[in-house]
Parts: sequence; C-alpha cells; structure tokens
Amino acid sequence: MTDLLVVEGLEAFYGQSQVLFGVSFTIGKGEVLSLLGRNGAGKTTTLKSIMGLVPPRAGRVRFGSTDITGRPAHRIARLRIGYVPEDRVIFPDLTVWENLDVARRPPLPDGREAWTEERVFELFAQLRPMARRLGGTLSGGEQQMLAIARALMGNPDLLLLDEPSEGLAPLVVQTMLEQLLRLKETGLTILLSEQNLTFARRLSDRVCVIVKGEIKYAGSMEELVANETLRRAYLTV
Amino acid sequence: MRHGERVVGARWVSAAVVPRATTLGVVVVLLGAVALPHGLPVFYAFLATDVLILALFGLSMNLLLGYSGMVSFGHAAYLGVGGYAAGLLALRAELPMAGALVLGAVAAAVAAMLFGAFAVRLSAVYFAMLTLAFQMILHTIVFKWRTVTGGEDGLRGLRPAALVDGPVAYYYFALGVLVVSALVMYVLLNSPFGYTLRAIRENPVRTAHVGVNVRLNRWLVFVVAGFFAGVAGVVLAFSKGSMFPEFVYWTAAADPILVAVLGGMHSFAGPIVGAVFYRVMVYVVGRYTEYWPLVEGALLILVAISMPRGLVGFAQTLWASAGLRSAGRPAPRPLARASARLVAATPSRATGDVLRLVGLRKHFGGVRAVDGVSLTVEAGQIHAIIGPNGAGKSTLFNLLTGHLQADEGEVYFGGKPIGHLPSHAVISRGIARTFQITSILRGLAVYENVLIAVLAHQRRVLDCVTPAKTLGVDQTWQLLELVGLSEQAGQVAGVLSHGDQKRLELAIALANQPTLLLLDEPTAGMAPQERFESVELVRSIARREGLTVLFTEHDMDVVFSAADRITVMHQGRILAEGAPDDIRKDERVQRVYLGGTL
Amino acid sequence: MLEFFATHFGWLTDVSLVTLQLASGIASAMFLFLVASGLSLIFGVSRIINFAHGSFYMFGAYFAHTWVQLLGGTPGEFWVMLILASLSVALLGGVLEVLFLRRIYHADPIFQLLLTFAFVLLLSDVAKILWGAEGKVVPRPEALAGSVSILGTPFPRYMLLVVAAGFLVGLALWVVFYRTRWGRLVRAARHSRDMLGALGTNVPRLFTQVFMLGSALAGLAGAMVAPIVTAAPGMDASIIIDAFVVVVIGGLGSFLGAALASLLVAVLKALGTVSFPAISMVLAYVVMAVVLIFRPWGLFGRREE
Repeated sequence: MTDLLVVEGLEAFYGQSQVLFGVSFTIGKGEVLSLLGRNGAGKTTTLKSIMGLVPPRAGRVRFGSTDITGRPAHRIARLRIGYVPEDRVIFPDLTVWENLDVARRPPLPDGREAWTEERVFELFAQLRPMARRLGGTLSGGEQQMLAIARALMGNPDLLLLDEPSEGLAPLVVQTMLEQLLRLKETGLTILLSEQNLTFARRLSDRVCVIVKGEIKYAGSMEELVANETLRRAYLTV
Repeated sequence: MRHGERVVGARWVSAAVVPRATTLGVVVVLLGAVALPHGLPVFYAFLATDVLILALFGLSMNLLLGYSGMVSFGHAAYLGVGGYAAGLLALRAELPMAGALVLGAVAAAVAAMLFGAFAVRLSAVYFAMLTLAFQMILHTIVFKWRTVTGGEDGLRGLRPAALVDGPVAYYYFALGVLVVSALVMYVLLNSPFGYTLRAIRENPVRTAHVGVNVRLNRWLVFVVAGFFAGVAGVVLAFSKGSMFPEFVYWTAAADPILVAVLGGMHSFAGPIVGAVFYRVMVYVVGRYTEYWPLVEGALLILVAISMPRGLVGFAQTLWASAGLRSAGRPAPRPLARASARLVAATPSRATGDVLRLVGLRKHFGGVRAVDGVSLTVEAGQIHAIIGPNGAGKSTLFNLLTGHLQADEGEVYFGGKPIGHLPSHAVISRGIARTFQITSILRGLAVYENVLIAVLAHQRRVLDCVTPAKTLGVDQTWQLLELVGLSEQAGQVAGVLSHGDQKRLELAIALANQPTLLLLDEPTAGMAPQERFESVELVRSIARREGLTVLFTEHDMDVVFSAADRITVMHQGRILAEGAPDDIRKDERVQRVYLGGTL
Repeated sequence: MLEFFATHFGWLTDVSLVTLQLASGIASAMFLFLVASGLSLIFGVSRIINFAHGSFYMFGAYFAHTWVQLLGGTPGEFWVMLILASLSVALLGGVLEVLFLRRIYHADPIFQLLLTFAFVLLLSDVAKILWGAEGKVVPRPEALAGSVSILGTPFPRYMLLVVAAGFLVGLALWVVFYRTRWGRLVRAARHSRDMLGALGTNVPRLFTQVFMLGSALAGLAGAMVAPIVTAAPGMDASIIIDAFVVVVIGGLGSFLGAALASLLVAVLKALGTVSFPAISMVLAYVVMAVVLIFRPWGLFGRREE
C-alpha cells in the first residue's frame, strides 16, 4: 500500500504553549486511521496543522508526492483534502444547499465519479428535505452530516474528520457510522480523530494513540482493545 | 486568538513606578518649556500654545484610546462643547475667564455624561460610529444656529483675562493648565480606577468576572475624558479668541487620535510627544508645500503598519536594546507575613446548599447545549462535572456566572436567585471562576493581574486618588505566593507558560474571597505532574478555607483523586451523579466514555 | 401650537411641493444606497470601517470628468464613462487593499481606522493635484436633459435615471449575493474565513474582490452624481458621514438595512429641509441614536459579540 499522507515530527504551538511534540504517522491509500486520545491531547491541532490552519513550527507533512508543510489552507484543500472541523462550522446564514455549493470543486480527471448534491443526498438522506433550510437551524447531528457532506463536495482523496461523534445522540452516531462505512467502501482515505472508542473501532483499520502531543501507540485496534493497561492508561476513565 | 491580539510590552510594569531617570526627564522638559519663549520670536509662543492645547486634547483622548481600549471617533465634540460653552458664557453672560474655564469643562463633562450613557453600551464599531454621530450633531447645531454660535463665521471676540493676555503670558497659562491636568490624569491612571480601566482594555470579560461593573467604569472614564477635552476646548477658545464649526467637524475627531497614536498610545507621555511632533511637522512641512495632508497620510500609513507603538514605543525599543533601562518593579514584598488567613476572610462553613440549579435550559440555534439541568452543590464539597466534549459543561458555567442568560430555569446561590444578574453582580456575591481558555490580563504584569482582582474585591475600583501600588500589597503577595508565582510577579502575564497562566487565573479568582469557586478545566494543557500539584493546591485551599468548589475536568485521574462528588453530563443533560466510586462503577458512564452506545 | 404646525408642516398641503421633495429624496437615497451598500459590504467580510469610501465616491466623480474628456463625444459616451469610472475606482480600491489593508486585518481596529483615514487625507490631496481645486463639470447626456411631469410636477429626467439605476443596482446586488456562487462565498466568508479557506477558497483574493466591488459601487455613485453637483473637493466628507449614519441605522453588513435606511435618511432629509431647514440632518442623527438605543446593532444587523 502506498502512503497517501506522511506526517513527520510535527510540532505546533498555540501562542506560547506547545501542543504537539513531534507527531509522526502515515496513512495508506484507502485506509482509515483513527487518532485516539483524550481532550487536549493534540488531536485537533494535528488535524489543523495538516490542513494549514495551525502552521507547524517544525516537521513535515507530505500528501501524495507533494510537500504541503506550511502551505495556506486553500491550497491544501485544492490538493483534495477535505476537512470536517470539530465544531463543524456550518455557515449559519447559508442554506444547506448553499453550504454544499461553496465547497464544490471540479473533479479530478481520474475517472472517479464526482460528488454532487444528488450523490451527497443519497448518502445523507436526511439532508435532502432540508436543502433549503438555513444551516443555523439544523440540529447538532444534522450539522455534523452537513459538515461531512460539504467536505465531500471538494472531491477529496483524504478526509480529515475531527470527532464526528462528539455530543451526538447514540442513534445519530449509529446512522453516521453506517454512512461513513459506505464512504469507506468507495475507497476514500480517512483520518479520524475520536474519543469514542467503539465508534473508532468499527470504522478504522489502524489506530494511533496521542497523549500530550506525542504518539504513544500505533497499531491495530484489536491489540489496543485487548490490552487493558494501555487502554486504561491512555483513554478511559 | 490572533485577531484580537495587540502589541504588548513591559510598559505597564514600569508605568506606575516612576524611575528616577524619568523624574529627571520630566524636570528637564518642564524647565525647557518654561524657558522656551525667551529669545524666540513671539510667533513661536503661539505655536507652542497650540502644541500645549493639542497635547492636553491628546492626553484626554488617550484615557479612552490607550488606557480603556475605547475608540471614540467623536472626541472633538467635547472640545467643542467646552470651547463654545465657555465662549458663550464669557461673551453673553460676561463671566470672567476663570469661571468660563470651570463651567466650560463642566458643560463638556455633562455632555459626555449624556452621550456616553448611550455610547458605552455598544460594541466597539458602533461605539465609534455613535460618538462620531454625536459630534456631527454638535457640528450641525453650531453651524446652523447662527444667532447663538455665529455659524460658520465663528464665535468671535473672546479675550483672555488681563493677567494672561498676550502670547507669552497665555503660553504660560496654557502650560499651567496642561501640567495640572496631566498631573490629575496621572494620579487617576495610577489609582485603582486607572488600573481597572487597563484591565477592561485587556479583557472585559475577565474584568467583569472579578466583580467590576465594566459599563459603569467605561462611562465614568468617558466623562472624565470629556471633561479634559472640554478644558482643552476652553484654552483653545481663549487662545484663538474664537470658536469655529471646523473644530468639531468630523475630520477634527482624528486629531487627538493621531496625536496619541503617533506618540504612542500605551505610554502616558505619548500624546505629549505626539502633539509636539505633529504640530511642528505641520508647521515645517507647511512652509514647503500646501499638501500637508498628503504627508500626513503617508506618515499615518507608516505608523499604522510598522510603528504600532508610536514614537515613544520606538524610542523605548531603542533604549531597551541599548540596555539603558531596567524593567520596573512591582510593589516590594512586605517582610512580615501579615495573617495566616490567605483567602476567605470570613469562611462560610455553613452547611446545606450553596448552589442549586433548577431546570436550566439553553439552546443555540438547533443545538441544545444545556437541556434541563437540575443540580445541587453542597457547602464545603469539591464537586466535579464531567462528560464528553460538547456535553454542555462550559455553557452551564456561563449560565451560572451571568455570562449567558438561560432560556429557562433558575440558579440559586445561597438560596437567592441569581440567574438574571450580570456577571459582575454574581461575582460580588461570592462566586469566582476560571475559564476553559485561560482568561487573564495578558498585557499587564502578573502582580497587577492579582492586584486588580484584590482591589475589586475590596470595592476600591472607584478610588481615583490613592496610588494602586500602595494598596492590597499584603494580600496580593500572599496570593502570588500561594500559587507559586511570586518570582514572576514583575513579568507580563502574556509571556508566562501555559501552566503559570492557569495558576495566575486561580489567584485572580481567589482574590475575590469566594464562597463558591468554579473552575472550568483547571488542568487543561498542563503536564501530568503539574496537574496533580495544581489540583492538590486547590484542594488544600478549599479544605482550609471551607470553600465549595465546582469544577469540570477531562483528566479522570484528577477528577477521581480530587472530587467528593461527581456529576456526569451527556448531551446537555445529567446522566449520573454520585460519589466517585459509584460513578466509576456506573455502566452508563462507562458506556458514554468508552462510546459503548453502539 | 397651531401656529407651529402651520409654519413647519403647512407646506404638506402643497401636493406639487410634497411630490418634488419626495422624489428628490428618493433620488438622493439612491446615491446614498450605492455608497452605503459598498461600505456595508466591505465591513461585512473584513470588519473594516472604510473612511475612504467617501473618497472613492469623489474619485468616481473626477474619473467621470476625465473619461468624458478622453472619450470626446463617442456615441453612448455617458454609459461607457459610467462603466470606466467605476472600474477605475475599483482598481484604486484594489491597489490600496493589496498594498496596505491586507497587512492589518489582524491588527487592533484602531490601526485599521487610522489607515483608512490616512487614505482620506492622501486621496483628497491627490485629487487636488490631479484635478485642481476648481469644480469639474460633467455634462448630462442629452437624452436625459429636460424634465418629465410627475403628478403635474416637473421633475428632472436625469433623476429618473438615478432612481432606476439605484433599483437596478440593488437588484443586481441581490442577484449576485443570493443567486451566484461568488455571492455565496462572500456570505460564507462573513461567518468564518478559516473554514472557507479550508474548503479551497482563496480568501485573501476574495477579500480583494469584495473591496473592489465595494469601491466600484462608490465610484458608480460618484460618476452618476457628477452631472448634478460637479466634481469638487469636499464631496468625500459630505457623503461619508451620511453613509455611516445609514449603515448604522440599517445594521452593518445588511443590504436590506442599507437600502431602507438610505430611503429613510434621504427622505427625512428632503422633507426636513422644508419643515426644519436648520436641522434637517440632525433628524437623521436622532433617528440613528434612537435606533441604537433600542437595537444597538442596527435595524437589520447582527448582535456583536
């Protein structure tokens, strides 16, 4: 499997305080990698650093054959990286359809079927009747799905998903999981940041555990789940 | 946070402690100002008087701009009110100049009271706009009300009192007024009131959360600034012998801003330096070209883009890089430890409910952040609220301290409803809090951060006379020592490490001598060892002082080692509540945390 | 009391005078709307209050004069001139944005205010250097000379054009903002530039485009007003305050607000000129103060944090 994304020794700061201390990992094409860790461990910052929203102070990010370290976010997005932030950032004054439209980018000439509103609504059926509603009036779960749908409109090769299950009701999480599994089947590569172990387990091929800005574990989910000490130390109550 | 950040330096540390070199400088400048008219043509006395008036005007502006962070674009209105009022009184009521000076300034202050009452309620942009509109109203009135104000021909025929009639004599009069006014402003800015203004400039939310009525203080400084602008207006009116509508045209509002920013709005002397530079430039450039505005525009672009701290800031940078100035010091630490009682003066060891929430609800658009929360916190308990991100914990805190208003439900503190109160009123009833994203006064010294909270708690905010550095010394040092920051007392808070900033915020909260302490993720972003020390600190203080603590936290080790009682929130509701052991065993809680909901 | 009403409002029985005042109020509302909507547009995305917007309006008038001279009687020169003058001002705005404003989007707002004020000073002198201190006349197109009769009152034909143009531009703006992708990008940028950037939009470039469009609107207003008032120094200052009042009443960032407040302010001014000639503009300020007391974020604005 060829590596689609290679992150090497990433260091990032918020103002004076360092959040990432040399984060390294790779994702293969078509793989789903979960970045697990508690709050404040650096999951969100890792995703933002890859996306160019928090410029890294040190380290390298390579996407395909391109070094994207320190590039502006819109250039990174145009290289086909889709970003779904933790707080979703739906444009509240735009309708659902308009939220999708602003993210639209032309498909790559590699013959893959391009994402359209139609395809997005097939996947997220509950959004279809809401196409004309303002983004700000959606519920948390609906906003989350719209945020994912919006990222898809850019025809990404890699999707950065920041804690999609956060604050959502179990039933909604279940639906979303099924939708993401269908996305995975299309061959989309996903970097998922999660606290919800069960959710991550169903979706991901491999996991990394990030603790206080460092990757402490990288490997299979099964091993992590089986290893009580590991789990207690890094993730659970 | 990049958007709101501004240039900060070590300036406030040194502002209140006048180093000897500065005292010497002031004396030299004053002697120079006194000697100035001698040996120069009389014309220069006129020019120098202009500089003095502009300096006074700029100083009054900087009370708002530099010290309180309020961008008024209508400050010339108060100069106008002062000048016109004094002129009318002198001409129509034949009041002597001294009386006109006092009444003119008072009239300006009254106008500022009226206009300010509307303006200070507004956010920054609308504040600038509304102050500008008030100035334009005044302009229209003096322009059109020809029978009274003389309209565009101006109000003419003023003569100064015989004693100061004549360019040189009047120069000395203006100098005297400037010196006295500057002295008053200097005292004011170094009083608790002045410190509070800086706190508001740095962080209004934090300042409200040490119990300060931010709006009231903004209004008061607006009135004071209006008063001194009025004084400048009166001196101007008698200097020119007339007042014209141009003095209050909208472009005139820029003059004091230019002077303050050019000189350096974060330095007391900045506007004076700016006024000298500006007026002399106008004069010199004006001799060579009629296109002064072009030069001025270019100069402003330069300042706005590359010299945000103005001439004084620029000079300080040079000075500092030459190693000529040491950083100022906070008030010296007292030798003897005053009392053993560090925090609560009167610990409330009362039993029963300290805090009771009944059916609290808060929605944002379609998101139910807090969805019917009822909760009781007992006195003396350390009570944790945990839950996954987005469970509604921070929103709940914001509802408790009046930062947000609930859609439904009520908050009772000590049995009394507080849900409707603004933050400062909640805080002064004995609640203190820290924020998830550390909220401190980043541009001020560590010592000053705590001092302002101490002064607010002592209800000294409106003291405009006593030097703040002489007040609350014991308690400030004790609090700094308590959280282990006495070594860093003189540093600017913004450069502290993350953990130290969190500790500083704790000291700020404790300064309020609260009955109930709310901590929103007190250890977020700290190293593991630091976390335990930090929590142990809170615990020991709470036990000793009989404090009740309600905190949110993500570090489960911290939660289970510190809390007496735990409430688990999920999706805006309470999922479980109980002693730590019960919570640890609770199936539902495990499920939420492990995501076993599938 | 009765006498007071007779003096100040007696004229309201004169239908032709009322019609004339209303019509001219509506016409001047159009200029105000063009300037204010540009101001509001720029504020909406960049949070910058552009003092230089009045200068752009003045430059529109001067460019109108220059282009008319350069075009020298080509057929349809008036219409070509309107387009060229607007484009010239757009270019001017774009250059200022790229060279200066772009550097201080993250700075303390006072520096933004200061910078745009610096533009006011610079541009007023540049205008004097380029065009002198004398007013520059721009001829009215012949087809629009003369008057038409509205309810029996003669009304300049040119003013009809102004009213029509105001409506058309307002409509065009609505279409651009609510029916084109570019408009959607602009509305999205108002909420979160970071998110929009992460979705692949070049946000700095979008800001420049918005600034240019806002400038062009002011330029168009200036070019259209030139045949009525002659291009002269001081035009900048006279319009900018009115435009501020309009955007504050309407709510910063709101088009509908700008449109309605322009009408309100201009009509109030036109009627007030007859009733209370001394203080007609004060009426607008009073309306503004009252609005802000009850709705501190303007009629159609959004509550600020």
